[in-house]
Amino acid sequence: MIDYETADVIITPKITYYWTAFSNEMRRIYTDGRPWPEKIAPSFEGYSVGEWRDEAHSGRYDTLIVETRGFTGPRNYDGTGIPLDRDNQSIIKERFTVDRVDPANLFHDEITTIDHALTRPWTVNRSYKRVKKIVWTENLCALDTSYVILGDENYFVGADGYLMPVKKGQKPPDLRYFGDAKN
Amino acid sequence: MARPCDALLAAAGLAALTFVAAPARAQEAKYPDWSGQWVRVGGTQFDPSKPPGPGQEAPLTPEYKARFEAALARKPADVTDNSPTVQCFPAGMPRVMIAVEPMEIVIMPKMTAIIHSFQNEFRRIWTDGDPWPENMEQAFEGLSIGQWQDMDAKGVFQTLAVETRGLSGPRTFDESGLPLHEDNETIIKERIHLDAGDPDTLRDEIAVEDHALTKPWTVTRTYHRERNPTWVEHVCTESKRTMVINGETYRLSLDGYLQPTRPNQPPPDMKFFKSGAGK
Repeated sequence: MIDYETADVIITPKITYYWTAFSNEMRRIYTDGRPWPEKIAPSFEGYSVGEWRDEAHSGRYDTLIVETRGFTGPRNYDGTGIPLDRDNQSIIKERFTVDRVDPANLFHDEITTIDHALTRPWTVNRSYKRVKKIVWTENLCALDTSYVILGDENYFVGADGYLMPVKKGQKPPDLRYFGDAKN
Repeated sequence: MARPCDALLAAAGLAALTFVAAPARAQEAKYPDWSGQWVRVGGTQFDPSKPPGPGQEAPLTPEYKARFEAALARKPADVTDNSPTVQCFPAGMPRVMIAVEPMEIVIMPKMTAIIHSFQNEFRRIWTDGDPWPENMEQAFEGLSIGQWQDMDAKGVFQTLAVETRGLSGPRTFDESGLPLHEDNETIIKERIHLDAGDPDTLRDEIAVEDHALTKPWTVTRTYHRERNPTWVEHVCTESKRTMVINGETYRLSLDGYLQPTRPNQPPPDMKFFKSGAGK
C-alpha cells in the first residue's frame, strides 16, 4: 500500500478492486458479507474481507474496514528490507477513510500489521490524492529489472547483455553444469 | 441507512469513496452481466481451432515466416514457452485474450476492466466516447476504445466492440513464438459477447491487423463462466526457471545454478569478472 506508482480503485457492491500500476498488483477486497474460507490459497496480496461503514451518518459510505490474511512470501515492509516473519501468518487490518475536508480527492489508509517479526502491532498511516488528468503507464518489473540471483549471489545483466558483478571482487557464478566448456 | 455502492458508478482513477448512486439504476440495466470468473476453453495456441505452431497457418509475410521458423529451430527441446513471456514480459494484446489463466470482467459505464490472473495483466477498455489521443503511451495491452452495441434494439447492450492500438513489444501471438511485427503498429478489433444460447459462455472474435501478416488474422476465443470462483495468484517470477544472458537462453536449476538449455551450449561470457568462473 506504499503505492510507488499510481493506483486505481474500482468499487462494486461485492468487491472493491485495488490495482497498483507498479507490477500490476491487484487486490480484491470482498464486501459481500462472506465468512473467511476454510482454506485460503496463500498469495502475496493475501485474502481480504471488508465492510463498508457510514461513520458520519451522511447516508453514504465513508469508511472501508479491511482485514487481510493468507499470505505467501517473501515480503518486506519497504525497499530497505524491513522483514515480515517467514511464517507468513501476518494479519493486516486497514481502515480506509475519505478525507473530511476534501472527500472527493483525498483518502487515507490506516494500516495495522500484526506479525510474528514484531513485538507489538505496528500502525502507520498513508494518504492518497486523486490525479485529475490520468495517463496510465505500464511499470513492468521484467522490463527494467536486470538483477539475477544465481546460487546465493546477486548479479547484474548489463545493457549489453553480459553478466556483471554487483560488488567489488565478486566471484563469477558457479558453472558446474557446463562441463569443461568454460569461458 | 447508507446507500449501497453501485457497480456501474464505481470510480475509476484514485478512488473517491463516495458517489451518487441514484441515476445508476436505469443505466445498470443496460449492461450485460459478465460477472464471475471466465475460464479459457480450448488450447493455448492463438487459434484454438487449429493445431499449435506451424499448424496455426498464420498468414505471415515471408520475412516473418522465416523468423518464426528460425525461432522454432532455436527453441530448446524441453522449453514450451518460446516467447518473451519466458522472461516475464507480459503477453500483451492480442495474446493475453488466450487467457492462459482465468480472467474477470468488471463493467462500468465509462470503462470496462479485464483483469487477468496471469501476471495480473490489466486491460482498460474506454467506453466514455473520448477519441483516440494524439499521443498514445505505448503499452503491452495497448489503448482500447470500446463501444457497447444493442444489436436487437431491446434496450440492453449485448456486444462490446473494441479497437486496440498503441502497443509496445516484444509480443508474440502465443507461446510457440509466432511473431507480431516489431514496429508494434498492430491494430486489434474485437467483438465480445455472450453466446446467444448460453449465458455462461463468452466469445471474443479477435481480428489482428499487423505488418507481419499478409492479411488480417481472425480467430474466435471462448470462455466458460465460473460463478463461484477461487482466484489464484500467478506470479511469473516465482516460476521463472529460464533467463537470457547475452542473447542465450539458460535454465536455472532447482539448486539455483545456471544450466545449459541445449547440448554443448557455452556458458555466459564472464569478461566483466576478474577471476574465472567458479566451481
